[in-house]
Amino acid sequence: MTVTVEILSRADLRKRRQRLLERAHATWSDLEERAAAQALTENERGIYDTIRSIDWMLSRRRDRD
Amino acid sequence: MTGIDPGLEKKAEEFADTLNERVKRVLPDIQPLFVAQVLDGRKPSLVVAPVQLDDEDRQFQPLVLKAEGRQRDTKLTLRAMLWCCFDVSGTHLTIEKSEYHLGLAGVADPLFRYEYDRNLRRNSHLPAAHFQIHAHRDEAAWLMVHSDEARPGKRWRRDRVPRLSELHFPVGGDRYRPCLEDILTIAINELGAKMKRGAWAVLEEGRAEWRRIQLKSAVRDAPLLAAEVLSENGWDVSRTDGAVIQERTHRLGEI
Repeated sequence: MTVTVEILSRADLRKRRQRLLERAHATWSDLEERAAAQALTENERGIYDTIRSIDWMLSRRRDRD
Repeated sequence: MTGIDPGLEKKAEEFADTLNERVKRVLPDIQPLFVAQVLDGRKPSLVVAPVQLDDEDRQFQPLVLKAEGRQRDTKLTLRAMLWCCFDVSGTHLTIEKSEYHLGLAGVADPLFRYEYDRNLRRNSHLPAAHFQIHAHRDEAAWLMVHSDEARPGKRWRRDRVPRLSELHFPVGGDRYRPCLEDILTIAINELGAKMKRGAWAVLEEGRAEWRRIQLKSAVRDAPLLAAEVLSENGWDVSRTDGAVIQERTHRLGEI
């Protein structure tokens, strides 16, 4: 059976975010700018969406570390 | 690692499994798979999106839909993301945001997108559930900046070429918005994506399930109206002491 759920900590998410930015060879503001200009490549789009989700989760959980 | 409530973990897993099971029954050779990533805590949150399971960073990937062409085959991509939280009781999963972007493989800009963000209307008059098309038409671009009022005024002051994709077409609000099955139907019926035998029945089944859930929420928004309709149709509906009678009918008027 494929595992379709994973439980993460804030530290896991932060590390993952950092590695994704390294993978994109870009800063978050670079990605945001390129997204606003609809100039992301397909791969960058995937990274951008993943980081947006990570940031959303982290921002919702400021009350617990 | 956090100590998540096993009940919540199970719900998250069921949610991702249901999406995978449905997509697998509709589309041939589908990869990647939906995975639920959960951040535990007092108010747990989770994101469900397709990823390659061997990618430890879980970079989101689009579902790839194949379409047989007259001269050559082509591929469509469907980016799907569902951002969820648990309700106050911690028992029901609620979708806070969702995005479905359908496009041609190799081109990052989608053809169109269906999105939902229940917090969007807080700071704007934009519809929580909306449809955006990535195309161009001169007349639309003109209308989008021709006035000093509302969004045309804002766009004009922004001093940037307007795009048709910035128009948010409302699609039924929180309760009556389209579901994943609707987007898959467009991909198959309008754009020729290959489907499995029996896919239409699966899509109908999924759509019915989605609408059942939404209907329950709509009844909770307007219990008195629901009771009235049942009474008009011959049901004997009575209120118990613990009955919730607080109506949330304002939700019916929300965009």
